[in-house]
Amino acid sequence: MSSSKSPLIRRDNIGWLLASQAFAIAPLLSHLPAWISALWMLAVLWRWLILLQRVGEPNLFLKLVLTSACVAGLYLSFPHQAGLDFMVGLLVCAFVLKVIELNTRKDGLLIIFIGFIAVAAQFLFAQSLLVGVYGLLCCAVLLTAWQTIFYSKPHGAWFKVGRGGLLLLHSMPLMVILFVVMPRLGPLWTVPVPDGKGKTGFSDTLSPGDIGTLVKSGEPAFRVSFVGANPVPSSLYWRGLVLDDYDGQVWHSQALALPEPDEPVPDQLEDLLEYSVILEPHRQVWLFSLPRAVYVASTGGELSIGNDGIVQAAEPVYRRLQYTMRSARQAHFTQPPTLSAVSRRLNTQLPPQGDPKARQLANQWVLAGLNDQQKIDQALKLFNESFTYTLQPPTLGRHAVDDFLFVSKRGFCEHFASSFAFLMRAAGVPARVLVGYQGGRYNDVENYLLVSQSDAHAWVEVWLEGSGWTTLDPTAAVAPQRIEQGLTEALSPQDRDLVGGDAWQRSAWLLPWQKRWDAAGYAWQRWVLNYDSHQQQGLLERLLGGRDAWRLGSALLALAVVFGVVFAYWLLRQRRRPQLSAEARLLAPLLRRLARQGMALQPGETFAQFLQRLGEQEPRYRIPARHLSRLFEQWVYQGDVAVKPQLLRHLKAFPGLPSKT
Amino acid sequence: MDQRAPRAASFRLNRKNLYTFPHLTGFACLGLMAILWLLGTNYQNNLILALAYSVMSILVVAILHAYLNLAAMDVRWLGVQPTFAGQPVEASVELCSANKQGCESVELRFAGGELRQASLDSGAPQSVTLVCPAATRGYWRPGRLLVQSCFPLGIIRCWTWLNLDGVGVVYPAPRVVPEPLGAQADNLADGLRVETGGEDFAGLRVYRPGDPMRHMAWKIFAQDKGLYCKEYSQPQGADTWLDWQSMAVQDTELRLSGLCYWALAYHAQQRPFGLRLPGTEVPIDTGDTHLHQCLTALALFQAVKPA
Repeated sequence: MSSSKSPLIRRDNIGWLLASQAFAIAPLLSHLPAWISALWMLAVLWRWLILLQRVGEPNLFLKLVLTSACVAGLYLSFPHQAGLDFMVGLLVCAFVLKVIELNTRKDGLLIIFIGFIAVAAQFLFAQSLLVGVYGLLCCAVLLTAWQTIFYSKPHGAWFKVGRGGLLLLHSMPLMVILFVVMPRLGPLWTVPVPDGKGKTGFSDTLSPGDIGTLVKSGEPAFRVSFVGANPVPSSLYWRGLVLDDYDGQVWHSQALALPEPDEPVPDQLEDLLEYSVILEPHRQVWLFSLPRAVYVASTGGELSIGNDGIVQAAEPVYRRLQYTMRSARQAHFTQPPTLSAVSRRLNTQLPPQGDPKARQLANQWVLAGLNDQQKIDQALKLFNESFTYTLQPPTLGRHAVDDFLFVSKRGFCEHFASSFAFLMRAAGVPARVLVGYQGGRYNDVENYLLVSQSDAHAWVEVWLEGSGWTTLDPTAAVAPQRIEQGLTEALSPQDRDLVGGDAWQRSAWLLPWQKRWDAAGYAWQRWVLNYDSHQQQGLLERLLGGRDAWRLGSALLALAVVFGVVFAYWLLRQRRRPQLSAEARLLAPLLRRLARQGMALQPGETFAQFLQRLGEQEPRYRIPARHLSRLFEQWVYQGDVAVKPQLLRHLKAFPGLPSKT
Repeated sequence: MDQRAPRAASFRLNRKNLYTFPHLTGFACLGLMAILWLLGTNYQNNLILALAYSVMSILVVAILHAYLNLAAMDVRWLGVQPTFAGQPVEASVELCSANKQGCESVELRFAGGELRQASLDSGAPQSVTLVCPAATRGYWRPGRLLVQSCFPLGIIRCWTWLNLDGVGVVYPAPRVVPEPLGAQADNLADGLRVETGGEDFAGLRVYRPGDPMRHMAWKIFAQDKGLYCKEYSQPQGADTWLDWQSMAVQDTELRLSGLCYWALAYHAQQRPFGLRLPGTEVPIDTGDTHLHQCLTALALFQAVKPA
């Protein structure tokens, strides 16, 4: 690889290349098997020993053995070889092995180039504000290392960092312009996506304890900004998934499998609420929306509103997705809505056996001739009497609903929702469980609602004749604080510690900073990560007042003119101010002063000769001239820096010529 | 080319004489940008796109920085060491950068010569000696001087070709020919005197082609001990003329080469000599300056001074 023609890198600069590599791959190593980290350490140690001349350069055979060992290791470590992690592993291995052979400038350039690709790989796994800032830092270190390759004399570390930083600083304005104006294209071909490790979120089923686990994570789920006035968080039920099939333990979703739209459509939708959501990737097709969604649009993919009013994407969401929605606050039916036979059957279906006590209770309500609303009231009354809302419910047996309703009476929202829906179905009222989020917290810095995993919730929708599917939250009957003020208020102090991100929330002095940080992250998300062709058009329209070709053309022309003027000014300034040596700069004021009075320095005359001539012409100059001459020589030729203040004093005090009148 | 870049004794590098163009690695850098752009577009990842545009901007900014590294540098012709024809010429130039940062990794080479690397501190002149290809006898003109640098990033090459107004002298290559007749005649008289006096006989040495026949140690040769030559120390004041007319060879260059050889030989023996060429005469003397004077006269014999 290394050609003998390419000059060598100065040894004191190889450390910079190693440092830039460390910066570039450090975040990637956590996604890769540990042996790659070990390989990296080994390679760096090897390079260091070569620099100390303890060991020699590797020969071709050794290089081949190492390379094939790495490829074999990667095949063993990654079960499916086409995955992104495998590709990144391959990149990092090649990158790390290159260190062993790092002598010439060509080798150095290769390290830098792979370094930039490694930084890009970091962005595949995460794109938060922090990751962005770290990426910028990586670029600064890479640029510093890049130019050290071409140094031919020694320099201090700060000098190198300064030069690297300057290069980065100079390139930023053009980068921003390119970022803003370069046209955006859709994906050119499909690419492997990162594996879903350590991601929190809903799955498409619900069994007792699921949401209790989810709320322990403080991670954000999505952020919403509303057009117009902000609604109260407690009124917001973010529907995620409709679960309408119960097998005795777990709720599943059947509605997605229904062949035809089965939801009665209200003909009068009032009080439309428009909002835009930025969803964290959750690897599911269903998205979160408020009830009665009527419109959805996104530039990130094809979205549609499904049978049960759930918004769906065509493909699982693997990267942050922004979508705009409209939901109706109120709906009216001119004709009473009807539930199709299929839907009614599905939503009253129960497993053939199990939970006999619950069935018996519901049966009592039916026998008592209660109407639907009365049945609901009975159930809510039951919950209100003697149930406890807790994050640490006891484990339930085979008859989960019975155990909960009549034995433990302690549970989390999914227990309430699940058993409530069970009771309703057993009493013949169509009911289904909804999972999603409830509430959220407004960020006053950027004015948006942050919904995090700790806002995860489960509730019930019941079919009421005349008004259709109606949202009912049994949790509200047990722990109204949960709905009004959020999860932490509803829980006992022991339980609170289990809720994710809460240690942060409670320290008062940190809260404003945490809010500001999240706001910065939101702005980052909105304006940088989600900047797409749509936003680009909007921005250009706002900046230029339209998208006509002539506007774009003249804007580019204006930009070019501005750059040209700055460049020309810079060139002219360079020409007007000839670079003077330090001595010449020091003497210039005195020489100008004397020249005005008719005593100019002759061409080819040294300063000492000039002073002597001055002394000969004018006897009163003899002594100051001799002093000045001595000081000047001491400063210039003996390098005596301490004499400079004295010299300056003498220069200033040098007497002027007598006026010639 | 000469019209566009006229000869001058010194040049200041500026936007009028500096050129920039991507180096081969600069195109590799464009390739890197393309890879990043494809990654960013396929993953719809704005940060990777920003990285791709950063690389693009770095490429553009590198043009300015590469230019700034060489700009405001003064290149001045210093001179050339006299050499003999057929030997590489060593020419010196002085570089001085008025840049605040100085100048890094600048490479210099005369057309056809060897590449030298230098780096300059701000305002400190530095002389660089460059090896140029061998030349023929006479006046010597340096080819155009290439000043180039790929600093700071190695992706943009900034360069200039300077037409330095310098002239050097290339002596004829010394070639062994029979000693000129005039010198021989003078020597003969001396030799006879030395031989009769005997006190200046310095010793014997192995015969070298071109040694005068009358110095041969025939007695030793007759004893079958090999071919030796008697050496005599030159008494002060003995004068020798190297005369164009008295050379045994006819060819002009060969004559000059022969005269060169003998001038060097006499100089080595510290023997005073003079040089007579048609139209030129260097009076009898000794010493380095004298030798240089004679060799220059030989070098410039019938040579046309380049424009």
